Amino acid sequence: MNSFRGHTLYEILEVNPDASPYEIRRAYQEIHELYAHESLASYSFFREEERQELLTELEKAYLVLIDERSRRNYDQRLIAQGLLNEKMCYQDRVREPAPLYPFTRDTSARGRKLIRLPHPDDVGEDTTYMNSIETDSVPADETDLVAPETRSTPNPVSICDLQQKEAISGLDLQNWRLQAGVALEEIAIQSKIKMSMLEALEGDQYHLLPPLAYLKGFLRIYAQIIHCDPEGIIKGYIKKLQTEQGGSP
Amino acid sequence: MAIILPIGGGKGGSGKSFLSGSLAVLLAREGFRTLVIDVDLGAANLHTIIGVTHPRLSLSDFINKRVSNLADTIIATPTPLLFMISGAMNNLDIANLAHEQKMKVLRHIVKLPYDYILLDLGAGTSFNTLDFFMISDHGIFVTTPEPTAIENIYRLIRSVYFRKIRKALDTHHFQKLAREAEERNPMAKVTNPDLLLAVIRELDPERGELLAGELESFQFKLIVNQHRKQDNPHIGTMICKIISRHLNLKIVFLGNVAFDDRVHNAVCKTSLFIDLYPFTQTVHDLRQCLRNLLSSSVVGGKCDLSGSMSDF
Repeated sequence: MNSFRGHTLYEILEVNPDASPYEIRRAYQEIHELYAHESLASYSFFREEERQELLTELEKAYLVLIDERSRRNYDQRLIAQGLLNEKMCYQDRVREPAPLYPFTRDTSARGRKLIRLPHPDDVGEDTTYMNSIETDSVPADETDLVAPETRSTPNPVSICDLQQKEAISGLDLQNWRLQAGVALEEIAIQSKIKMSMLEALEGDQYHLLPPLAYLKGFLRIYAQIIHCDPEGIIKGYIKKLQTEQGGSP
Repeated sequence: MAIILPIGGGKGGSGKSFLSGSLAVLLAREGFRTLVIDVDLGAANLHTIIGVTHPRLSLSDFINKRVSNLADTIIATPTPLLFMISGAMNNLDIANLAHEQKMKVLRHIVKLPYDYILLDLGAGTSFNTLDFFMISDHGIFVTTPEPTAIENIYRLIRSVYFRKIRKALDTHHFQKLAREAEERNPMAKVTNPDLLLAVIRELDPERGELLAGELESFQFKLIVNQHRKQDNPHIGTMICKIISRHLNLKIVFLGNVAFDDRVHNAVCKTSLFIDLYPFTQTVHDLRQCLRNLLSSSVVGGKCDLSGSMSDF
């Protein structure tokens, strides 16, 4: 019987040297199933004492690799013997969660900032407000559908427009979207909002719009994609909607 | 040259004949010229499974020299392109072939002009079975997911392994090395081939590699037959893993074949199960096994009769 002699603990458990503790636990469970006393797959293959010896070795391998400190010591020994490369060892890297929406992925990385609508408190400090806006220069004709990662920053909406508006209509939204160089289809793809709903938004077809809570959500995503201040847009759009309908929607 | 696929399994009733017959029919329908030989000499009944009720000729005609050429004992079957050599109507003492007779049969089998030649082997680990099994490197083991069958399959695999090592030791003048190995570790006998190989590798790495290389030429296959729903579907993969981890053998799992009560009906009617119940899980599994078999690099049935086997 070839026992496990001459094999590294990683080979015994059939895992890569950079396997995570979770993978090691899974591998141990699988291999243990092969050698367990009641295992059908290895029935009669081993003598009882052989099986016991294998099981002991297997458990020893697992206990060394599952403990962080003993595993590091073991890795050091393998590295010293030249069996393992330092780079191949397991490093407990904390991975950041994947962003929920693709367009929020690299906002900060590219130094983009949302354009805020003027707030009553902001009125006196227009200059600082203007300075806070970063205007990436991008040709305005960029309306093609491009993957959000590869697309460069859309044109920011002109501030004068935003400042003048109290109530925002669907046409305003459309104008700002076109200024930002974003196609409606792109918003539909990124936000998973139906095209018909986006068209209703831009066309002021209020009877087609969803209840207020959903509408706010849609407007927020829309605003984020065209890089406008979501709160301002929501407030303005709903104000317009309420004046048109003469009451709450 | 034909690709020879011996089909064996330690335990009787595990479905060797059924699988041989079914795979042979499927191969023939794929357009391959296929021959299936019943070498279960003591208890031949493959002909019934593939729909030949009264074979006119059989292997015994060749062994008893009623015909001089093995090719003359080949009979047609109801399936086009499928031919068979029956093992039926043998003399009662034929189950124990003499060594020279066996060698003669083996030599003739290798020369037959077919695409595939399937050998339906008998149960057990008699030298008859082993030598027919070792005619090619592409032996197919059949087991059922039961401890009894698995125990026997391991016994058969070890026996084949043992005989191969023994043959290799004889051909390459290893006797001295084998004795040395036994002196070093009293457990390292030929009856314990895996340990023997390990000790030989330590003593003489070069020859150890040679021996390991001989064993690596095997490309065995495994089919788990009579697989019921409640059985572990991974049992075949696990068996292959145990074998490749602890015996230096390559073995590929071809798949599970579902258990079906109606196989009994087909056998009673002496007609093909594949035709009677073409849309069952079992037939689907058989086709899948065949597909895996054909894609698992079957290169050519090598026959190696050079080694002396006279000491058995």
